[in-house]
Amino acid sequence: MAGIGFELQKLYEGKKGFAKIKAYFFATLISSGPWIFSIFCLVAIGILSGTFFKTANMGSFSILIVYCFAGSLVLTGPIQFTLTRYLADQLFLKQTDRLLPALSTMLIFTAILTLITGVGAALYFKLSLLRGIFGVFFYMTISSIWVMMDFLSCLKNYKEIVRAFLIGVLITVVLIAGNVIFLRWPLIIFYSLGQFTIFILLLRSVLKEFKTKMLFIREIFTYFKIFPSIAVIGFFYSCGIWIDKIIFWIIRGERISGNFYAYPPYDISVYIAYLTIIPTLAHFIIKIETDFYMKYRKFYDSIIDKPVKEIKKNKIEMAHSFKKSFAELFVFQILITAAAYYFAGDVLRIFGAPESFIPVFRNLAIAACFHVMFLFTMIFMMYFDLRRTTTWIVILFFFLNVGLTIYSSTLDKKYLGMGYALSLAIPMFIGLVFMLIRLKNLEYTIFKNQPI
Amino acid sequence: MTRPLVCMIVEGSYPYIVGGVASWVHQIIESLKEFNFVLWLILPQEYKKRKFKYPIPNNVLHIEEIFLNQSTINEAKKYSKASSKEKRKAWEDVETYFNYMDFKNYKMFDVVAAHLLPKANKEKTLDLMDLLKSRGSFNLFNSRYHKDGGNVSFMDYFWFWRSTQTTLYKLYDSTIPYADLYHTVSTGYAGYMGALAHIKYNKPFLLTEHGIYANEREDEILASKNIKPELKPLWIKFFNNLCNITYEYTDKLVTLFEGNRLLAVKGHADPGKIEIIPNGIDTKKFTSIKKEPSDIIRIGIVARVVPIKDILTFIEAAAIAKQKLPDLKFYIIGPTDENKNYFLKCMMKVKDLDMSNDIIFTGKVNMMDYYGKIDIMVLTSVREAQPLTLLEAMCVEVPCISSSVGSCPDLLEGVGLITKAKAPGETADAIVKLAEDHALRKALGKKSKDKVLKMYDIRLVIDKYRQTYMEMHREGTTIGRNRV
Repeated sequence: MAGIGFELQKLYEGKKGFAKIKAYFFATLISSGPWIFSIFCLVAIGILSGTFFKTANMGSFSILIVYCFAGSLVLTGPIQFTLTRYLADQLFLKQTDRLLPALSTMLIFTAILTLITGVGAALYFKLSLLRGIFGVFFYMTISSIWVMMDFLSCLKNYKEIVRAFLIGVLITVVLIAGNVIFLRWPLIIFYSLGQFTIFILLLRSVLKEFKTKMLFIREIFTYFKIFPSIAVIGFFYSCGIWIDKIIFWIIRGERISGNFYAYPPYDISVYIAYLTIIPTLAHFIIKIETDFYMKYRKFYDSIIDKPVKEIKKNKIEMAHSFKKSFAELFVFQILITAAAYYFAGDVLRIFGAPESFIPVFRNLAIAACFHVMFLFTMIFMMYFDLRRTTTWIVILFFFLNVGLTIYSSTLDKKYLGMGYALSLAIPMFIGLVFMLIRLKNLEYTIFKNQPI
Repeated sequence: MTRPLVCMIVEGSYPYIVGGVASWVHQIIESLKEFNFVLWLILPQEYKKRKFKYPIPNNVLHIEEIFLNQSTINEAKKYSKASSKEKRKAWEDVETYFNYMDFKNYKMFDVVAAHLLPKANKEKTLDLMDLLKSRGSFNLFNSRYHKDGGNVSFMDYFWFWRSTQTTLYKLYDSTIPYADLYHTVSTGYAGYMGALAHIKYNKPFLLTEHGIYANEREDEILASKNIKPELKPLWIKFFNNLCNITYEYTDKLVTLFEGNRLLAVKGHADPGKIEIIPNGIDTKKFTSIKKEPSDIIRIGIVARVVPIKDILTFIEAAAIAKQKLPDLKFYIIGPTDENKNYFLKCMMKVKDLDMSNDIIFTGKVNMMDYYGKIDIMVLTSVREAQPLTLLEAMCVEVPCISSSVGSCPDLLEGVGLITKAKAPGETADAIVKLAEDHALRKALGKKSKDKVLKMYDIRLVIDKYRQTYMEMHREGTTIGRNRV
């Protein structure tokens, strides 16, 4: 779904010299908005209250945030992936009146799921009443934002999305600053209210662009039955991303408060390492996906009424676009990763993390590099409906991550994170090979898949 | 001794649709009591409510039907269990077979058929899914696409290819009845089936060609609005290939008259295999018909109301003739329900020309009641083989006018009038000429009857077929014995 990418590309192609930077800024926010938001807020909180990243210790507030992130991402993974597929299909069929009911149905579904799991988790982690209520509230809010994120990429009005994030950040910072000075209540209250503001503002911009009379649509649930593989992919992908962190919490973690465990060298390094993929994500949205999508449409349109010669030409162009894009993204990411690797000490210092994190951070920077390439591979594979292969490589990623993480935790500290990097690199290369095979045999696949 | 079994393969007519070929088939089966028959009918789709239009003679032991439309294809995914090596060899053969056909060489068909038909205790090398979805089928598709010009859109060519493959698969997949002799009354799918049966059981294969199937199909395709223009040459080539395969594998080819013999030779049939046996009628039935005189001259066209008979030209000719001679009445004698649109067109034409009182559509009638009431018989067909109605009318001493198609010029030589096809003016002139000249009508009628009795009696035809069947059966048994 490259809808918003095209809008941003228009901006990028604009004449104003500042436009290109602006386009990248917007793309950054759209691709990684909540991520950047949370980092920005946590840094702000750190500056204001002097608790975060100052030492190697994590406060009870940050650990709550991290757990909420993990839980919500794992839980909404299958929902996000399935909803994305549904949206893509409906957009293709031009049934835009079904988009909003699908979203509202999924939001309500998510709210119910997160309320139940959230209350359960709050009890398990023995949170105080106030922190429990707002913790669950925060957990529900960000889960809803995840569900809505894919929806945002088919909106045209990117400026509203950006505005929603900026206002949310502003409100959070102001509230927290006020709290630090006057109230000293648990930070989660203000942080969750800030997120909720973002959610409401995003919802408003969605409601502005899509109109409907229906509130619910059952059809979306049938998608879980028709494409179970997509939900499976979503589940193993989001679980795979978190399982190594959870394993470290269990094996090497230290108790923060209640039943919360953390392993700061790993957790903090991951947080910072992932910042290195944001430029590549933005680049993907603006330049790569739009360019590829045009070639992709051209190819599939030509199948309908063009002779083989032209289809072949379009396929070669599309395959070329894919290979060029992939190489370009990879090189782009490697350059950033190399810089992060080389300047690891300086980067960590900016975030107030100790130098002892350097080896872990370096490994995780490499892992982030493979992660973003794995993500791109998956996106391209989904374009060619390689669902079964994608399912297998995502499951492979999950189990590799479990195995290699457990193995690497027995090794010296400097190997931490390498398991994660490897478990992303292997499925990525396998996926890439399948992708190239599929491209090579594309005409035969189309021939074979015609209905009888 | 049991009677020899003849498998009669008929495409799209007998016993569901009344017509020249259907009547001919009926007569042959009914008359050749010393043979048993299996009827193998190839039909475009399943007729649910249709009834047999002919009573099935009691020497027909069994009727087998094949429906060509796709929806009846069994959806079970059948890939053959043959080894990939065998399959590779089979695809190579199929590729060669297609390449040979580009050069009008059809000798590879039996090699290919061996891959497609189930063998004694072994399954076929290529089954439905192999033909539709395998890598081999894709490679063949690709090479055919490029050999066929490579300009048609992929999807159009794909669906052309797919429908030919699924249709022919129906033929391979059917249970071919075992018989001592296979007799098909057209080329096309029926001929193709005959060739398959001949290859499978190594029994003699006789082809009687009434019309030239390939040409009829070509006309239909060229006139069709449902087929995209760029696909027309492909469909024409497809049907041509079916016909040529029939010519290649038939042991004997019977045509009705010299004109068709020449067309068959032009269509690459081996001249040495061809024999001419004209159509005939039961003259006894017609010589007894009494003429019923009238004050006005009655002109009849005996034909189904369908475009191939060009009834519109007849109507126009009637209007022109009517202007010159007011005392004329016109009869269009034959079923009107086969092509309702065309019938509607004809009725509009009659109304437009203000002939509603002078032209009568009789619908389906018993012809025996009508030949006595016609003074002049007209045919305006754009295509004919050897029309029996002409022979019948001649036998009742009705002078005939016909368009110059098929064997009509031969039939009417010296005894009737010939016009160009699609020439209402010329037809009208001929009608006026006969209508004005009672003596000429009488003389031509007499000569017509003599000619039919001498050359076109059904008993002559049946005797020839009896003899042909016997000979071919005898040769077939010898062949069979020698092979054992």
